[in-house]
Parts: sequence; structure tokens; C-alpha cells
Amino acid sequence: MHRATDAELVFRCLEGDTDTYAILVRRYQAAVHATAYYYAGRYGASEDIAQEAFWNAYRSLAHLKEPEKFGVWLKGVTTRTAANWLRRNVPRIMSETPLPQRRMVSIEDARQGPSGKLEGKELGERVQRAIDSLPERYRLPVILRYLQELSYEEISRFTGESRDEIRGILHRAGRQLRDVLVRSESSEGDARWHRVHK
Amino acid sequence: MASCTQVDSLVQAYVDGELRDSERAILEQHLSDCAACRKVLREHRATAALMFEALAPHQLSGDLTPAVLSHLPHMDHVQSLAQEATWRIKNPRRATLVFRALVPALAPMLLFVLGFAIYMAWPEAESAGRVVGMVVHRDGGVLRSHDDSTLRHAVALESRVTPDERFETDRDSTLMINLAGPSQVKVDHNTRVKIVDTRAVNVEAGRVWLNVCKAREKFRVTTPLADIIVFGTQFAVDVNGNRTVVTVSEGEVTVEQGERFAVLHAGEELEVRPQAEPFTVREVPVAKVMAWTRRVQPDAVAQRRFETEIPSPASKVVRAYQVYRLDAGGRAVEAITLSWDAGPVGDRAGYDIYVFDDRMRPLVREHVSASVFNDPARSEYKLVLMPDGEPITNAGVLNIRTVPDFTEGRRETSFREIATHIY
Repeated sequence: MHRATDAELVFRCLEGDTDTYAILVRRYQAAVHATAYYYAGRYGASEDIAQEAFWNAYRSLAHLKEPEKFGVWLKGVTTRTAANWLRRNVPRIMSETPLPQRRMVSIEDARQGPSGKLEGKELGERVQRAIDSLPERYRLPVILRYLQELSYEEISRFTGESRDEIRGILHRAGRQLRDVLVRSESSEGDARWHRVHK
Repeated sequence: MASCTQVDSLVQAYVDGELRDSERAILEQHLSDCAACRKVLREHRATAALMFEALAPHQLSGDLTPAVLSHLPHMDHVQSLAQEATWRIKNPRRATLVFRALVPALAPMLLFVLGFAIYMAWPEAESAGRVVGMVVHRDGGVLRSHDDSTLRHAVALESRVTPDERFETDRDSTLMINLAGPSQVKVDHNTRVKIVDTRAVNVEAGRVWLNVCKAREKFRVTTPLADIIVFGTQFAVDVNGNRTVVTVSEGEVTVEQGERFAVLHAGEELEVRPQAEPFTVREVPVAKVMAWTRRVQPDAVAQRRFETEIPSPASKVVRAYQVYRLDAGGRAVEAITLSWDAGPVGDRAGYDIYVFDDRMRPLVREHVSASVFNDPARSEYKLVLMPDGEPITNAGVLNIRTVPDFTEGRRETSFREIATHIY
């Protein structure tokens, strides 16, 4: 018994050992679910999409060209699955219940809102606005980190960015979230002119 | 001292528990002196707490595996391969003819390149063979190699360890390996250690610390000068030039050099030298001797991965060795006889027999080969106790410890009787 690499597990699946797929599912379910949440969390469909993503991945496993990059490939499969799900379901959902549209929120928008102790739904909305105000590239790593507590290494394996890049992204995102969520009432905050370093 | 700007770039990774030890030390040093940065740290912590709190209700609620596996679709690769084959049959001339003409020349080149690439990439995919452990801490450059190759490769965190792998640290690097069991091996600077198996380690030079889990099978640490035998305990080994020092912080450790042996307990240390100087066990401040081990701590993620990926067998701790007390009645004893019931033979283990006096001072050690116990005609073994050519006279009680050696066989022998032979 040892920690098999993703590539080994993929090969074993391709050889017909379906039980091996369970190891890959367990290894990546937190990341896949968080990605599904990122795209469709507000529709409460994250788990359905995550399941579907794993089925899609299994079906097309033979097309995976670099088995050692299974995580990155799986992220792509999850994104496509979520997009398809949204295309299929959102018009229907929208016609049934009006939902608040997600939009790009500026830092200024995100700063507004009550300070002090936030509870439940209010906190959720405020944090959601704060995440939406982040640059696109930061959002998924932030969700992977704070929704599922993935380590930098695990995030890196899934997004394809290096561990150092993830560290940089979460550092910059952390500063911006701090400015928005914790320092929003203080006057010396520099978030308005916050520089986003590459 | 690090500047506030430098420190600022470390704070988030610190909150996330992702800093390297050296960076953490720099940051903590700075924080102890800088109120402004402490405030920044508090804010980052508060932010992280808010984020976790707000997202917690949306976490994955259970394991998706059963649902995914119960409706696993068909993989479409068989179909796609069949389609490709059909396409090729239907379009025999479509393949590029120029390329075809080059195949005889290209194929050997391609094979060579592939072979070379596989050869170079091999150590990272070190999955070949049985896995006995995982690297759970690595600070600085550490090299690994196998006996059958002169190539040495860099060690990565979370890489798996296969039997007979040698690890070398330099003057700045440290390493920690968890072995299935689980047992832990911490490796200090300038150390060369070979992981023979889950319960055998060879310290060739330098300092290691071991926390050995209890098991039926003994754990053997081999050094150039002495062998160290334990069952479940914590101890450190320092191999330096012509001496080996064994320090015990928990449990009991047997050190053997040729015929001689000593048993150490917590707080004791033994220095073994090549010449036949008498073994002297001394008491030492263990915490001080082992201070270096505090620098070497497992990475939390690697530790978790080790626990899930390299499960240890359910700990069924049956003490493997037996201790017998023989009353010699103050008489001179020249030998003891171990007898057992003749039973099914084959696959029986050998035994190491240790004889101590009434105060557990070592007297004689002897290895009895498995062939003795696997001989259907035999049911006893005589062990001569003449350590200095003289019978043992000063012992009122003899303590006999029998330790199975599972290298030659797996089955233990139960001793019916151990008797003394009076001189």
C-alpha cells in the first residue's frame, strides 16, 4: 500500500480497475466540489455538478494526454460540466425564481455594508461580494482554500499553477479581502488604490 | 531584522500554515518586536476566520465516492480506438507517405529518446517496487540513491520510500521519513542512512532519531560498530567516526556488538567503540542530547497524506519476546537447556537468547538458527554459559529472554521448559 501517483491510478483505471477510480474521487472531490460551487453554488447544485464531473472525467479518461496532470485536466472537465449544467438549467431556474444576478463588484461596492458582527446570511453575502470583487484569477484559489481548506500544494495540483504562484495569489487576495472585510471602516485603508501585482 | 514589507509578504502563508521553518522563524522574530505587524497578522487571521465561517455552510457534506462509483459510465476509449482502426482501414492511403518512408530511421531514434526520457524521469516516479514509507519533512537539499545504482537524485516532500533506499543530508539539510507501522525516522545534518525495510534501518554516518512503533517483529538499526534492537521505543543514534552513541528517551533498547550486548532504558546512553572496551551505560540529559530533533517536524499535509495513503497494519501488539526466570540457587551454572514440544516444523523462526543475571546485567547472548527449530528430530537446545571460560557462579536468579528472529521463518516456538545445568 502506498500513495500512488495520479498517473498510476489513471493507468489502472484504463486497465479496467474501476475501484481505483474511488481513490481519485476521494483525492479530488473537495477541489471538484469547490469548483462546482464557484460556478453554480448559488443554485445549490454543487454536489450534482461534482458528481457529473467525475462521471464525465471517467468517460473520457482515455483522452487524457498527460496522466500526471490529471488534476488540472479534471479542473477543465469540471468547468465544462458546470458550464453545461448552467446552460441547461439556469434559464429554467431564472424563469421560476428571480435570483440576484452575480455581477462584477467594485472594491468600493464591496466595502459598503455594515461593519461589526455579521451573522449568517448577511456575512455570507458580504463575503460573496468580497470574493466577486477579486480579480478573476484569484477567485478559484480563494474558494479552494477557504471552502475546503485545501493546502497550497493541493490547490496547485488542481489549478496547474505552481505552489509559489498560489502562495502569491493567496497573499494578494488575502490583503484585498482583509481590506474589504476587516478594514472596510477604517480610513487609512489602501484598498482603493490597491495595486495588483502580477 | 526583516523589514515590515518583507514580513507583510509572509503573513498570509503564515496564517495558512504554509511557511517554511526558516521563514516562520524570521516572521516570528519580527512579530515579537513590531506592534504594527502584529496588528496586520490579527487582521489576516480575522479575515481568514470570516471567510471560513461564511463558506462553511457550503462545504461538501459527505463522501461523493459511493454515488459516483455506483453509476460509473462506460469509458469510451474502446469505442474510440475501434473507430480509429475502422478509419485507418477505410483510408489506407491517407497517412502521410513521407512520414512512412522515414519510419525505419525515426523509430530507433524515437526509442532512444523515449528510453532516455524514461531513464531520467524514473526517480520521480519511484513507485516501482514496494513502498515502505514517505518523506514527511525535507528542509534543504537531500539526495537519495539505491544500492544497485550510482545515480543520486533530489528528494521531494511526500515522495515514497522503497526498500534499500539510501538518503544523504548535507550540512544544512534535514529529513524525516515515516515508515509503515507507523515508525518515524528523523535525520539530522550530514547524515547517511539506508531504509532497508519498515523495521530495519542502517545508519552509516551522522545522527538519526527513531520513534519505533510496537510490533511483534523487532526493529533493527545497524551501524558500522553495533546493532540496535528494539520493539517499541524512542531513541537516537549518533555514528561519528569510530564511535556509535545510542541515547534512549523512552522504552528499552538492546545494543549488540559481536558477542557483547547491553540493555538501555529511558535517560541512558551508551558509547560503543571498536575496541573491546567495556560497555558503560551512563545517565544523560536526554532532552539536551535530542534538542536537534525539535527542528525536524513533519509537514502537516505530508503527514495527513502518509496516514491516508500508507496505512499501517492494525496495531496488534503482542509482545514477541518472552522472559523466563530461573532460580540457580546460588550454584555454579554452566549451561541452560531450552526444550519445546515437537510439532509441525517448517517456517519456524530463529531465536536470539539473552541471559541476564538477577539484576538484569547482561551475561551471554546467542543466536539460535531457525534450522534448529525446524529439525523434526530435535526438541531441545543446550546453551553453554561460560562467558569467561568459567561457569556463572554469582547469580542467584538468571533471567532468560527469548526473542524471535522472523527473517528465516514466521512461526514462533513455545518453550516448554528452560532448565539449568549445574557445574
